Amino acid sequence: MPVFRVPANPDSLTATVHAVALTPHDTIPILDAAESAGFGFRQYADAQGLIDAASPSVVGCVVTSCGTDSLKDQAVLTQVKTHLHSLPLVALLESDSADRAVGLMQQGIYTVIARPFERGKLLTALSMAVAECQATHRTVDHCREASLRMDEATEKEIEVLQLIMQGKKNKEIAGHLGITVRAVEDRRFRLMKKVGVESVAELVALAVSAKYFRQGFSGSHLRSSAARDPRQCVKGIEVWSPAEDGSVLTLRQSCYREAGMFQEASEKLTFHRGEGLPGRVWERRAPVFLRELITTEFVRSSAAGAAGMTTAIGFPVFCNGDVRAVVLILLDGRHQMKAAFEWWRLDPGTANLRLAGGTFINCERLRRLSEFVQLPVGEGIAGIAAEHGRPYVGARFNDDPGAVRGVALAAEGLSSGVALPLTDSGAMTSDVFTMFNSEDTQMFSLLQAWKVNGRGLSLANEYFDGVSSLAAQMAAVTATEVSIAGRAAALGTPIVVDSGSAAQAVSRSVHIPAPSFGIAIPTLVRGRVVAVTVFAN
Amino acid sequence: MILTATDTLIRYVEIWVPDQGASRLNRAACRVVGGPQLAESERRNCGGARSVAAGEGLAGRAWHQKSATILQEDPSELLDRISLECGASLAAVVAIPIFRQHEICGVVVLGLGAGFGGAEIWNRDDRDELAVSVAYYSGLPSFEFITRYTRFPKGAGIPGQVWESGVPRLLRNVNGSDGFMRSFGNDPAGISEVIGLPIGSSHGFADSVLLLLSSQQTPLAGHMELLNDSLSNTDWQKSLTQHVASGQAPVLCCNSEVSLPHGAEFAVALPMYRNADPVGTLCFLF
Repeated sequence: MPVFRVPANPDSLTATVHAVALTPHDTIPILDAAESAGFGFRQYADAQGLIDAASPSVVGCVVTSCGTDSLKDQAVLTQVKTHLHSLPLVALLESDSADRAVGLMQQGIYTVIARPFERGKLLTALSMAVAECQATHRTVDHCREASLRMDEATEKEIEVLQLIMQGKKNKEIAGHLGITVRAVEDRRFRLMKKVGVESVAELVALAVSAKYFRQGFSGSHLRSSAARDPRQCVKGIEVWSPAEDGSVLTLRQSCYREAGMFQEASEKLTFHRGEGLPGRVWERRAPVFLRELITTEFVRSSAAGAAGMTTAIGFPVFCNGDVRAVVLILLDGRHQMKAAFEWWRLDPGTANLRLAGGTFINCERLRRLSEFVQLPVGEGIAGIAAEHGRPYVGARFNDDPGAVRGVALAAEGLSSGVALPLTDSGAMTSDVFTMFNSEDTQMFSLLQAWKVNGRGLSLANEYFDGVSSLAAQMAAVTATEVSIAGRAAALGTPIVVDSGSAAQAVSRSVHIPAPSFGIAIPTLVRGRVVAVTVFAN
Repeated sequence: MILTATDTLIRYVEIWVPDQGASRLNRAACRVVGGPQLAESERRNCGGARSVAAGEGLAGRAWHQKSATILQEDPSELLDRISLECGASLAAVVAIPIFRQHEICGVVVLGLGAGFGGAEIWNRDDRDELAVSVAYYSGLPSFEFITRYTRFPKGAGIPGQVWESGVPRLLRNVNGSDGFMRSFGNDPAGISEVIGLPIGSSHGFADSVLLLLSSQQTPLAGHMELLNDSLSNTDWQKSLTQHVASGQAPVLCCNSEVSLPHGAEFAVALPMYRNADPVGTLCFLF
């Protein structure tokens, strides 16, 4: 029997129409047009809902209704344009509001559609808006590629290029740099050959594209995360502990990447219960996630901005039922990285774990799924950590028949992860903190779980770049007290490491390069350390 | 437009419509996909009733329970009997009751073969979330696994959206798309289209939601459309919706009655209502 199929347009597969604050009356025709065009469709109660849900790399367009309240409309438009630069905005208007339409276009709206809607016009507007978004992404990709090509240039070649871009002639450049004209020509020729262009005009165009990319498209309608070393995305790790009198949290340990001002600001601070991110973790006795640090909830927000930090995750470490320490991981979420930090909590009704909170960086689909998925206790890394009240390190989740989200994690490229029980009961725990690393951009390339027994520490399992290492198969590997795992075990408190002490953390894993940045976190039961988890790179 | 041919997951269709007093359902049409339309007198087995009361047989059960019904027990006498009657090898049978306000408009019975695809009935649990209560999956083990642990509140996911809106949905190209969160596009037998149908209604929301899952390898039908009165713009679509509107009941129309596109031999159309208002017509072409 005949069956007919129209092959999908590959571009349309990931494009989504995001409807913000639409009435049911407006929703049906927009939904119909989106589906007819082969686009996905999502709706949100307000702009914040869209911003929370969508990543900057999302492809599609935003449809919103604009009424007579221009200030309210302006607030929505500004919010969307600030956070989701590449998504064109389509405004729905009453037919008699021509002035309003002009005003909106001047504010940067991509197009307007007047009620009552005509199906053909709706389809055209949505398709054109999506095409605009796809073009924007192509431009970003082009600039990223230009930036990578320009990485090949030497400092001397860049000197010449910068002067070319200022419009200077070869002779002027030679005079400025104190070299011969021939040397200027040589440098320019070598650079053109290296980056694969045949004319000075092409060279300048490439340099402009690369510059845009490296500056994050500031001043342009295109803004994107720059292609930096993904391992540099962890900008800082802090350990805050209650002062002896239990009145405030103070910064006990920290390591940062090029964050002098932030470090300075942090060292002076203390937090009461409920104050700032550390104080909130202390008060709630649970993880707190701040996807954006430009908020009053983050006291050090300006210093964080200067240090390139955009996202922070805080979680508690318990001892005898009290919060012994609050660990903060500070990230630059603008990187082309993928990562997930989650808080899973036992649902007494079903005896399964459900998502209680989290931050998902560039893995939006995993976030959406996780909100509606339950994890059985005893299965997957979170379930195992919950069942035994012990940390668990895992990888290659697609091969784990018990991992409910195995397919989803693999599809997002999240290949290794850690689950920490948020308890010191030693029995089944109701709360688990998880962190997942991406296959291509390892946030922490080294993940270790150490067991503490009568003889000291033994490595339970270890993953390096998502691959189980031989060291873990060697069974007992005794750590010395000077290693970070050993120190965390001895002191019963998280130990943040710099390049000196981190190397000792993996002294027996000779095949693994010495890490320079990381933390060892103890798990305590009735005041005694039973396990230590290390994540580092 | 490039057209390719393959087998459909739906192998058999029955249409049941109420009698004048809506006290019984009568079998109005039945057809094996790829075979001729069977007159009642031509049916091979007389065991199958031509008329059922609420609670009788599969169609009567769906009507009585006000819920879609999936039959896939192995062995199942009823499934075996339907397979024998229609002469097609069926792995599952889905009965879809259609209500307008609280009146039964008809029941559509779909016989499903093996391949890649499935049908899910989502019902409210004690936390007012939707969970799959009964499902038939063919060739989708990882999808089946994740679904077992998935719950959707009102408005979330396709089941939750259909539940909340009371409006049927047909989503295309869902494999790996944002619109269908349980599919991650890495399943070789990926689901390509999803149909969400609200079944019954009370207090403004659907009682349950039926999801039909279609794959590229074995799509549910040769062609699927969700027709809307305000948007129908081709002759066959208008003609089919008129057929449905005149009887306010599901219909099976042959190419001789409605000039169908793509060389289709017959069409099955299911009118959908939210309370008393029509909210679309689901159409399968074979």
